[in-house]
Amino acid sequence: MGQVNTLIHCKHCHEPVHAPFYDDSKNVFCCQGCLSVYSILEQGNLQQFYKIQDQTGDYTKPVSVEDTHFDYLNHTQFLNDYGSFQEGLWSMSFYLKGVHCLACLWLIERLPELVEEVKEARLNIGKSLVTITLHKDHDKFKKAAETLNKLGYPPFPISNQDELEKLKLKEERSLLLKIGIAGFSMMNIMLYAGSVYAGANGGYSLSFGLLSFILVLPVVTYCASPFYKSAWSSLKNKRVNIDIPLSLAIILGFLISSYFLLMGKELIYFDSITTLTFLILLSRFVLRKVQQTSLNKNDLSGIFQRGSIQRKMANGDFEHIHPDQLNTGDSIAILPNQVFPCDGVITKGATKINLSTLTGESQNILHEKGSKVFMGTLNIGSRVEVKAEKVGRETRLGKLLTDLEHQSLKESHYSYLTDTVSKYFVNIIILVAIVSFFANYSFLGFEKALENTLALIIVTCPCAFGLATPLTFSRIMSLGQSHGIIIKTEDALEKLTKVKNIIFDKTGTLTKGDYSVTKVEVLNEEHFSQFSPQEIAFSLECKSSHPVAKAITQWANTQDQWLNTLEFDSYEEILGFGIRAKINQDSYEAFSSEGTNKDTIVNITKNGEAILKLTLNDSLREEAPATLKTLRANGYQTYLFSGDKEAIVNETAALLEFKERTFLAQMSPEDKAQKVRHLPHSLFVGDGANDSLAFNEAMTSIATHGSVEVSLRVADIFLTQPNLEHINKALFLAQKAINTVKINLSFSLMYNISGAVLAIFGFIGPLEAAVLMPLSSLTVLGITLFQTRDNILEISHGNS
Amino acid sequence: MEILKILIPMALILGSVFVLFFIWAAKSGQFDDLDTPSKRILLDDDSDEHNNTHKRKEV
Repeated sequence: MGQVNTLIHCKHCHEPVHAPFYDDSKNVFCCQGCLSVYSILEQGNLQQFYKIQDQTGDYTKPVSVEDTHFDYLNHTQFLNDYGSFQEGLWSMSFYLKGVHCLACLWLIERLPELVEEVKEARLNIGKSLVTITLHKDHDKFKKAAETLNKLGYPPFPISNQDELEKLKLKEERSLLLKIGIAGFSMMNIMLYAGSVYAGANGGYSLSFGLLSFILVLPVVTYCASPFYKSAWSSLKNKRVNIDIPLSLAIILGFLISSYFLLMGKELIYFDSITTLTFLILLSRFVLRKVQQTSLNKNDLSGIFQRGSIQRKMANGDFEHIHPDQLNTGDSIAILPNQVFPCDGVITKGATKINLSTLTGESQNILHEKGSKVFMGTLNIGSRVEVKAEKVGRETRLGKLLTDLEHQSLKESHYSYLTDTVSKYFVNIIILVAIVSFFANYSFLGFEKALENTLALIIVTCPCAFGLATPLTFSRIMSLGQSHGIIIKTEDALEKLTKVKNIIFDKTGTLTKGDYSVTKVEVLNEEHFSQFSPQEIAFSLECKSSHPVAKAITQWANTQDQWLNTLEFDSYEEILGFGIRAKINQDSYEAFSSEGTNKDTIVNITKNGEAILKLTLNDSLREEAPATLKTLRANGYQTYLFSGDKEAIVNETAALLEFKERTFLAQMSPEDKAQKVRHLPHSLFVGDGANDSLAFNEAMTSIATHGSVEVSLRVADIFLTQPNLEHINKALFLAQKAINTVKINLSFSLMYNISGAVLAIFGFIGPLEAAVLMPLSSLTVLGITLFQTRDNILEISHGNS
Repeated sequence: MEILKILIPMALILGSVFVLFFIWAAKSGQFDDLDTPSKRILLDDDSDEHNNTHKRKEV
């Protein structure tokens, strides 16, 4: 067997296989899930899936079939809330986990070939949303959902009542409409403006002017309305943003040009106004798209990912319902490894609960009958029955989320570079425009003064800020995204460049956050003649979902790819103790205990005699020392704030060379937040909901783990893979973005000053302005694209 | 240059028709998903052909 232990790959997902599963034709699979997907595809003649995968070189992940029930999909009430009924056909949308490539798209849209009730399945790959439409007279989605689940894409129904989503969609469509209309007007007006510049005169000039006037009307009234709205709201908040000079240029440009049109003059800037509107709308649309795809793609929709729960009916039986159908007062059963869907009280049974998402405690706490349980915590031990007391927003987690949402809406005291610059810019332009108008008025008369002032406003219009800044940010954000760094807002980039102090969480951030087997001691050789230590440990632990058991099975799997398992006659998992199993006359026990300081020790005994001792602990991430070294070399102060025990934190700090007094242990989430508040220019790197308070207090934050919903909502940046080196990359990208913005700003400032001088003295007419404006835009676009070209990250990496 | 009196209105009418089409398309949601159609188009022909040949074999 030795020669085949490398390079066996799963037929379905191409991952290396540890413990193989075979189908009838002796194909090898890594898990039961992959095997069943393969057989479904084989039966449905859908093996094209693998061809497409081979062509794209993009392989699917191992299948994890979620143990969830979809009975609730057939309830009429649920159908009314979640489904939509159009032209006699029912359809429903689902968020699918695990969609990532062309082959997934192909397979999911072949659903009608697998489930006969399904008429059509349409996937939106960017949002991982599938809309399933059933044939006439069918309204049962259960089978379709079960098939998707079996294929390895666990589906989560999406309510059709989501107002926020609808609003977002509507806004996006209207932005698109505005761009289209502005584009149409721009092209046509340019045609007329071009002929006027080229010398069209008399009747032509007048009719071209009138046509332009008609075409510009929808642009200034409809297309540019987002600028006015944002300018108005920032004025109301006594702040200045880029939209104020923009609105000013558009409105004044329009009014004065219309006045000149009435006067029969050829001084018309309609072309400049529409071009400006079109380009800025377009650049904002691009920025928005980049933000959305990165957020959608990375399971930020985690809130949808809730499986079914069992509710006790009046007759004592249990039915499977969707968490949304849960009401206060319901009795529900929670199985091991399930997350509590509500706050409530245990009415039957006892279990250990992992509270880490809510409180940060790493140990599992025993809860008995009458104890309170909280939404979002994980049931580790055994099945319990719970009476729901609070659901949804009323729960502790719901309240935490609401609070955090409110806090993030709070106005930040931070003033952004572009805001600051545009503040001075706006004030100066307005001042100069007024002065120049009156100066010109007293020397040259009203019309000449109006003419020069208009040229001034158009020429100095802050195109570079309006256009190049969103483009820079969207380029940098999509660059980050392709490296697994999701930057949620452009503000985060600017804040990153101001960071001086970097604070790390320990468990799950600097360490792996999971148990792993670090030491194996065989205490009695003779018991392992028939089965190896790995096989015995694996057999004992493989049915348990406890984190320790998972670590042991994983260790056994990587040690030995061809494990034989013992078939026990009886098997029992004892809460807070371990596992007891019997085979023939022999009884085995595996129980865990705490070691000297941070170790967890698992002893395996046979008939009461200790035969094997496994030591487990949480190990450091491989890249942690190097990353910290680079950060310190770049002048950042590093800190370690942990909720863990002092001895453990001291050891980690020593390993990672944290200086005296820069690390603290046994901190509650509130302590962390409190400490972070007093560190200026801080970046908090962490994971878990217990860090979310600190995330909020820090100037900016990075969540290293893409799984815990609460921390993802609060953190400014998150990493799709927990790799600490990405922190350096994020800092580099941020620096690059701000540098590019600064270069663009200095260029356009120079350009604007010289333009303004020329305009005040009347050297610039409409033709010159019409040429100079796009020229400056093109220059800043060129600078931006050069500065943010695709390989900047690789180049920086090569140098360092 | 008299021809402009016909050409310009024609250009505007034609343009407006396209704008109306665009408005209709945007409102009916054809631009909501910009990622999937670009991928979907790579698949259909290929797999249909596969299915057809497969069916023929069965017959």
